[in-house]
Amino acid sequence: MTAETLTTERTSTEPVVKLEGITKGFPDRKKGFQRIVGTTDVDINEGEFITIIGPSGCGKSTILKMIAGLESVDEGTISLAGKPITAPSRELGIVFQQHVLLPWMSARQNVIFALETDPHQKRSKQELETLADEYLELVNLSHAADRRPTQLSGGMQQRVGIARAFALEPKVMLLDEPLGALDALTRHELQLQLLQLCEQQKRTFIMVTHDVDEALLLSDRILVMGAGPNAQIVHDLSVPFSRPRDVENLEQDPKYHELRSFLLSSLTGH
Amino acid sequence: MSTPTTQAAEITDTAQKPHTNTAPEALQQRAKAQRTRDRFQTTGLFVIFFLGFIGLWHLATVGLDDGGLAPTPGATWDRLLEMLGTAFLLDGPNNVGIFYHLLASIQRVLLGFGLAAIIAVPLGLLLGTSRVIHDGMDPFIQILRPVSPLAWLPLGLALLRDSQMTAIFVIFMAALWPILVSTIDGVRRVNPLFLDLAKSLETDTKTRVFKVLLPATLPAIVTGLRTALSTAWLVIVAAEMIVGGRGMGHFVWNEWNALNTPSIVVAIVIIGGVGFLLDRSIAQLQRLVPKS
Repeated sequence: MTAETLTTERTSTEPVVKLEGITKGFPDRKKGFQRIVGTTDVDINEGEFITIIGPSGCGKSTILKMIAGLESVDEGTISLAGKPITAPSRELGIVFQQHVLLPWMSARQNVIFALETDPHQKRSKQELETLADEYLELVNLSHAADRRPTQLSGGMQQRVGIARAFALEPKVMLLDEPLGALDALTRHELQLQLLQLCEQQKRTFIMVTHDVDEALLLSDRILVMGAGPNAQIVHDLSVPFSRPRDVENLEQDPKYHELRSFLLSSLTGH
Repeated sequence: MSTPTTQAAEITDTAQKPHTNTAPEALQQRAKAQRTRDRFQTTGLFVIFFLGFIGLWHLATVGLDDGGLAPTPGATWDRLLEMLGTAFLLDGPNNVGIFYHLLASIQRVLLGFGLAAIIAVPLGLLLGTSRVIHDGMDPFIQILRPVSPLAWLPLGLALLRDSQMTAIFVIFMAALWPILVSTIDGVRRVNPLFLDLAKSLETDTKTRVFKVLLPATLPAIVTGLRTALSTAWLVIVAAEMIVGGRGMGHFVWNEWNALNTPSIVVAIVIIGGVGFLLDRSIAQLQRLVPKS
């Protein structure tokens, strides 16, 4: 996309999330101040599924935390629908890498907790329960609604987390290696479920992962970060496969393998 | 991924082997029998140890030329029955049944312990959350914590001019530190992502404290409460020897002055038993605590 088309498009479709010249670093005892994330600019459009991929330590999770408002930026600004993000907000739904379910509550109560804490909308107990069950149904967990997190498998715990994030009806969903802590089999299963979900629920997604296949399966656009410190986005690739996507068709597409090896080589540096 | 399915025919699978399994009922029977055997052995050992202990005790006191000061098993047993018989006696300040001594000690401990909990839990939550306030306060905690609670006793007598209040104050000082330190530690161990979640949900401070921080810290708080209560129960006996009035400590000291050693043995057993029960009852709080 050239600069010209960008400017003409901006009038009609303003990016939902805009990262302008952001950097982030940490004081280091030996090396002085160490900049982890180098100057980064990204425009994320409404309805886009965007994935940030990069080697470990490149600061991709830090970028997601800054968008979430959980970390401050050192320089530059991040804005959501034109307004700068300075604090966490319910308009940004987060799915963490480990499940962050409160262990003293059942799956349903965990979703209700996210709903009932809404300062802008007070709902009755009945409404809360119905709504929570709807979102658990979305991730096929109706049968496990009354179970405590410890009584759920890793994949189920993560699905409750996903249901909770969707329940906020956020403008943007932030997925921080959402399937990173799962075993290979569960992971594959959940990738397919996530694909179905995000094609169903038209929303903007920003995901961080280190899994190339996951990125290709789910994303419209993949941002590849270079190695840290002072890491920057080195590639901004669009993923051209039509939706709804199907794994088997995808794996037979030569373009898929081309992109896959390109991503792998740019991540490993070979 | 792209392996053709026709290769399945070439897979060699050698998992199928004939087995003869024992019936599950028989296996369960075997496990049950083992449990019964273990329990029987435990009980048997306890009886042997107990009889051995009484026997040794008896031998140690036989022919001892001490003017009848050493408590013999027989005299202790007689004294136990006598004390239980007059447990609820309340006949003037010098003739009080063991029940009322016990009650006085328990009351003091629960009052001092309760006051300590009311102050230490909220303070611990605050100090655990704010690194800055904690670091400003920490020197006080570190210096005061190792001091024996009994060191406060004369100061309490001087300032409060009341033996009852002083005993409660000493218990308060004994119970404060374990609860405070354990709560601070508990807050620090709370999964930081829980707090990130609470922030991302735009929750207010009240929700964050009562719905997230407090339940997540509860296991550590209960641990602190248990340590505090058992420390308080240790300290009360010594404190009551000094402040007098009613109470187990006072009773023990009084019996020593009367050279009545079998009473002291009985009192020791009662103090131990009640301490055990107090610990058990506070441990029940742990049931409220979720497993994480």
